[in-house]
Amino acid sequence: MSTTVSVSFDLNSPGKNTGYLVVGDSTNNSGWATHRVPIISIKNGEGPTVLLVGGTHGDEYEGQIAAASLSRSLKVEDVTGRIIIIPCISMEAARNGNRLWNDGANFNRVFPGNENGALHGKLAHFLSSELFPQCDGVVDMHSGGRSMYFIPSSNMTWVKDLNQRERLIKNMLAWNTEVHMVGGEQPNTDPYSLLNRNAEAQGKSVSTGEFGGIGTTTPQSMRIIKEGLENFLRAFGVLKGEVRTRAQMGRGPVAIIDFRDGNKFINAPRAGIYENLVALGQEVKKGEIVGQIHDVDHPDVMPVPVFTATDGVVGVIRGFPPVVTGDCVCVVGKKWNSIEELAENEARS
Amino acid sequence: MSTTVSCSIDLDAHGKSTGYLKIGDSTNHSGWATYMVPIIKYKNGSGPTVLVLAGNHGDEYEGQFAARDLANNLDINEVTGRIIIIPCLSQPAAKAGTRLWPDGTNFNRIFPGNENGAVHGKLAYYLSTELFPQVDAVFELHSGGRGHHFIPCSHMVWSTDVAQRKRMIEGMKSYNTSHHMVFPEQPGTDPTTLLPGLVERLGKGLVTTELGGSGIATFESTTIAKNGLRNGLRYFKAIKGESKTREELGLPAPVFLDLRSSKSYHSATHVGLYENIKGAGDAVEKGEVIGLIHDMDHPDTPSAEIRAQQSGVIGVMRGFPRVNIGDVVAVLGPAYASTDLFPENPD
Repeated sequence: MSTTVSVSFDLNSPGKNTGYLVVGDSTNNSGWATHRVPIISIKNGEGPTVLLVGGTHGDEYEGQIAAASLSRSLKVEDVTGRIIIIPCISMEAARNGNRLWNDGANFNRVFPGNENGALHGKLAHFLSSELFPQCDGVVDMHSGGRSMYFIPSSNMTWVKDLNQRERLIKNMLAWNTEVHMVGGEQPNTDPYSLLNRNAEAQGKSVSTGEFGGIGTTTPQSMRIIKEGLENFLRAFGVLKGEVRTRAQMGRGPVAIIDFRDGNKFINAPRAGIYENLVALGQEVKKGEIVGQIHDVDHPDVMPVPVFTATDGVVGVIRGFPPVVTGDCVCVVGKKWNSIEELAENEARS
Repeated sequence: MSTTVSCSIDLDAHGKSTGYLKIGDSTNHSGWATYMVPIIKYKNGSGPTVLVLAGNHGDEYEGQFAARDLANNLDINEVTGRIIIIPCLSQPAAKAGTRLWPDGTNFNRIFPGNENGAVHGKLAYYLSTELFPQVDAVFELHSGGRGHHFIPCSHMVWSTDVAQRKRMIEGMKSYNTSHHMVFPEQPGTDPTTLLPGLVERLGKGLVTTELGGSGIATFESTTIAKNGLRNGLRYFKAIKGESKTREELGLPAPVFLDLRSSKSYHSATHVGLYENIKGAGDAVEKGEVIGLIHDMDHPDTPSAEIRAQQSGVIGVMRGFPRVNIGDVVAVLGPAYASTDLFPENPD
């Protein structure tokens, strides 16, 4: 129970309701202020409750627009259960075109939150202690943000718990994207400080994705995320309409890009301006150059090449070209033709 | 003659040299400082002089990579004249990932510069008074930057000087992009304050580009930037080899977008989050919805529609989605097979 965040309407009332999460705030220009985060609830009949969250990172706009569009277009009679939508949880970061909140907080590392902390801490505490417990499913929509560019795709973490893993796979496949990405645990990170992992730890059925990037949206990326989200919600049983598979849509087999090995993440070996020398989806061999870093101050210094340590497919390229040492510039994953093939390979290795 | 900028290399010497434009500077951390802008020169033979410029706007990286590729990898034996390269004019902006200099200056609105002004003013003054007079042609490589995303193209402003216009059309075509875009003079702007606007009026050869955008560069857009620049340098006979047309390379003929009409530019009507419903390269009908502005503060407010003011092809779509009223969200206009087919009056 949060004493610092409330909802401006009853989330249990039927029909469509729009309002705000109202968060106690105090700024240099406003005492007794309230920070407002739009929230929409659509409830009809019996069925599961699904929470959709966009804007965990401010400069990832695909999910924000998909969520905002759905909240406006969805008809109450199409829902079978309850859909709660927060189009943008990190409002100030999104307004400024930033990944992080103004104080540098990464909303995807502050869980389970802090009831009496900063705004983001209060919000995270409210989500983890009040919203997640009343949900069956939680969807957290990401993209590359300004720094990265992903092949638009739903993804998952290859968790140890087999029941949870089974649910994540089913949810991931329901988005029908051309590829899906499977990652390992983030190195040097408490996994339960992430929004999706906190929801998972509460036994919720979770789905996540990276639906493009570079701090923009295109008609193509929006088509992919909107189509995928609707199919996911149908497969989850909270939205009426026919669930479709890729085969039924006349699409070819899906590719699974495997990022579980930490070697897949390629980091800038030095500061400079990074140039992509490979395209998204391109196959590369171990030792191949994926990019180069220019020393823009010294016209007689040749660029420093950046290599891939493994064979695979380029799933992520660099967006924002200025880099400092250690910035991620490319992710190369092994390609599997199905999730079963990936799972079998793990069993063998 | 500039007293506040000098060049550390002899631009007339034979061979390749790398060095700096040195600009008198003074910062809070350094008195008597020198602000250094990398410059590279190739000279071999007696052919024309071509100046290659990129990074006029800091967050437009495709051209910076293409210029730097030339600076790193051009073989002096390929050169048949003189090529002067400044890979990044607005270094503080490029390093920060911004369009403008840290003081808010748009480098493309300060020409002919100011000899005793800020660093950017001194640099513009040096270009106007020392570099431009000694060159035959200028390549000025832009892209959309964070705000916009273009179909990668070479482009031009529809010059009122018909002879100059003809030269610019031929130069534009030499970049061999799939599309070429023709713009009007910027409304409410002195055209000679723009770098290319000044070069055009000095009667120089001029090729300008918009090679992508969104403040990033992909392998695809950078490849277009590099290939076009090489072909363009062949067209101006600054490097060896015959310049090729798209047709000779087995590529589809280029498409010319006429963006001269005031109906080409589409601006945001509301503050909010702009969604490209139609994207760069899409053909649209007059009246069609091309974008939506979502009010993210008010979930019960319908999204505002942006409709096409004329039929045509979208040449430029929005990059950074957060918009203010008046921000350009799309530029579109009719497509032609040649600029010869353009109407006299686009409106």
